[in-house]
Amino acid sequence: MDAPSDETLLRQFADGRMSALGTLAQRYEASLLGLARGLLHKRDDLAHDAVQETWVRVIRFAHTFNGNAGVKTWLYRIAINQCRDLSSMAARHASHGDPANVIEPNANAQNAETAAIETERDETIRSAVDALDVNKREILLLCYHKGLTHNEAAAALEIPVGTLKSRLHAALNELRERLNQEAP
Amino acid sequence: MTTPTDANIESVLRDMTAASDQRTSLWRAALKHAPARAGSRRRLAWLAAIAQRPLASAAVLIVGVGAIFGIGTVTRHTLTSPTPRAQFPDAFQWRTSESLATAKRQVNSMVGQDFLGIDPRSNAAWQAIRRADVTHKSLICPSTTATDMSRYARFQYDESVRDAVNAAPVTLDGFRNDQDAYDSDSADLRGLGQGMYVYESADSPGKADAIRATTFDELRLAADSPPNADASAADASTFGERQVVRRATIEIKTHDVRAVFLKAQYLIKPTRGEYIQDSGIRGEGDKATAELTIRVDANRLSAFLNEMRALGDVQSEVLTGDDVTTQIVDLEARLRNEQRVEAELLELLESRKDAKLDEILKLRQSLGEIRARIETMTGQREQYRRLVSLATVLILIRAGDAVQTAPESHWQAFTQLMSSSWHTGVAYLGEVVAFLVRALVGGLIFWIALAGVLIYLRRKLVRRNAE
Repeated sequence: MDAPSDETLLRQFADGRMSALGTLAQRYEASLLGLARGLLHKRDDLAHDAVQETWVRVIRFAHTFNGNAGVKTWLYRIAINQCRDLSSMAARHASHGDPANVIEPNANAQNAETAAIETERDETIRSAVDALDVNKREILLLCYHKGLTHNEAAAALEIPVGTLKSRLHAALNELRERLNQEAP
Repeated sequence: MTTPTDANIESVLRDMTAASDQRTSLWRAALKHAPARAGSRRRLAWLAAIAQRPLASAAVLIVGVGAIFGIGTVTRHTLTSPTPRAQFPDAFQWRTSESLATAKRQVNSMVGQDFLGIDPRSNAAWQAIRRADVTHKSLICPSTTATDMSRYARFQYDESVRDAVNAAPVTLDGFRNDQDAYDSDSADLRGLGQGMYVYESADSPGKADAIRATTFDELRLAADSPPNADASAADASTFGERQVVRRATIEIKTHDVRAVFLKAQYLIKPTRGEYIQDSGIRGEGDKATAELTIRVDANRLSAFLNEMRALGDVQSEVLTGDDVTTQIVDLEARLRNEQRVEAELLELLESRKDAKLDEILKLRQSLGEIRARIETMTGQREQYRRLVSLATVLILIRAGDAVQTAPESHWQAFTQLMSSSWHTGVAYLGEVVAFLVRALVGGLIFWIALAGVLIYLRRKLVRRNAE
């Protein structure tokens, strides 16, 4: 028997079937968490918050979902918005002198375990990505996120696919330039 | 370090947002903190708001309920305050919708001495007066309000009704001194619409007095005038001896209940067969009430009620008449019939002395049954006669302020009004406070439960906010 579609699951949940949300979460929670971790500079705590808040909103507004976009796109759009909110909130805290919450461009470097297994080259690329403008970084991460096609990424960001591609092109060019500059 | 290739970049970018291998169930945590439906959340929002301030909410609730009750009490009091119409619940009031047959029946039952309330637009009433057995009666119709006056004027211009009235030997006087009628006390006809006083006879001296009368007291005196003997004889010849069972209820307010209770007992005349059927007095001072059921000579009912009215402030007065002429006539006819059969049986018994024993026994048995029926009917006839000859008067006496005299000046009227308003207002306030106390104490379990729920909701909300 075919697995129920995302839309069916969401409708079932809106009708009161809690397990439908579990099935939906099984499909997307890991991907959402990965994306959130990337968008939030590997801040696991913030990524968890973002995904949990995404589910809260899904729970609250499931009955208002009109099906204009796909459930997957809808979920990613909510998650991206949550990441943006949390990111700006963390930045505000950082500006108020809370060093514990400061998002450093290369915060991942602090993770000794990760640093140990990553090559120097990868680390350079990560640092260059983190140093990009927020919007360009977001485009890059979304477009290379395994779970999303370009069309879905464009829908999640609510921009045309053409715009997405041109922005992706620009972001990649900038990234390459940065990496070339860093190269000896 | 060499320049990274596109493949290296893509690999790192994919790795940066790679799906988490960490097993999480964030959706379960979300489910705990968010109701499944936004709708239910909205519905619960007001409860949460109440829960934020449980004491203030409870206070608002109590005050709100009290205010609603207060408004309700005042409205009820206003709507149900004794109006003149309410004080004559049993008075005959014709309405335009009533049929001629109903009106005729009512007119016939009112022969003698009662106030009638009549809607002047009721053609049936006037037609009934013309056609019914009371055409010999004199009817005085004092107008009471401007509205009634205008109705009466319309009535005067209604040709068919006017002809009906003109054709009837009744006296109508609707344009005299309506202000006196309006100012008269509650025992009078104020508010009843057109008032009618039915006299014993069109030719009685009372009729002339009534036409000249300018106040209700004078009307009453006219009504109490002894009827003209010839006219009474004419009435009797026309209608036979009409048998009416009369009942009256009079409610009196006085500052001395016991005194009025004793005085009322001295008003009866045992020589006429009058007696006290029931009496009782309860309570003391302001709470004292007394009841008397007195049987008075039906011919003296008006005089007796006049004497009662003088004893205190009449709050209400209801007079009813139940015409039992038909029942008595029917009873007497059956009685005569039974007596005739009895006589025939006796004659038969006398002439058949040599008949068989069982035949004689059968005759005697039949005779016995007939005599039993005769005795029953005789008893019923006597009971009717007693009921007709002695009217039943129920007197209700209760404590209250003494009869107020008419104010001498505008200032006195104003102060009386203010005093009355103050007392009424304090009484209302007392009722509201009493209700609040009742609601507070009587609903203690409910209030405790409500407070518990509110406190629980508040704590839950605080906990949720903290999380």
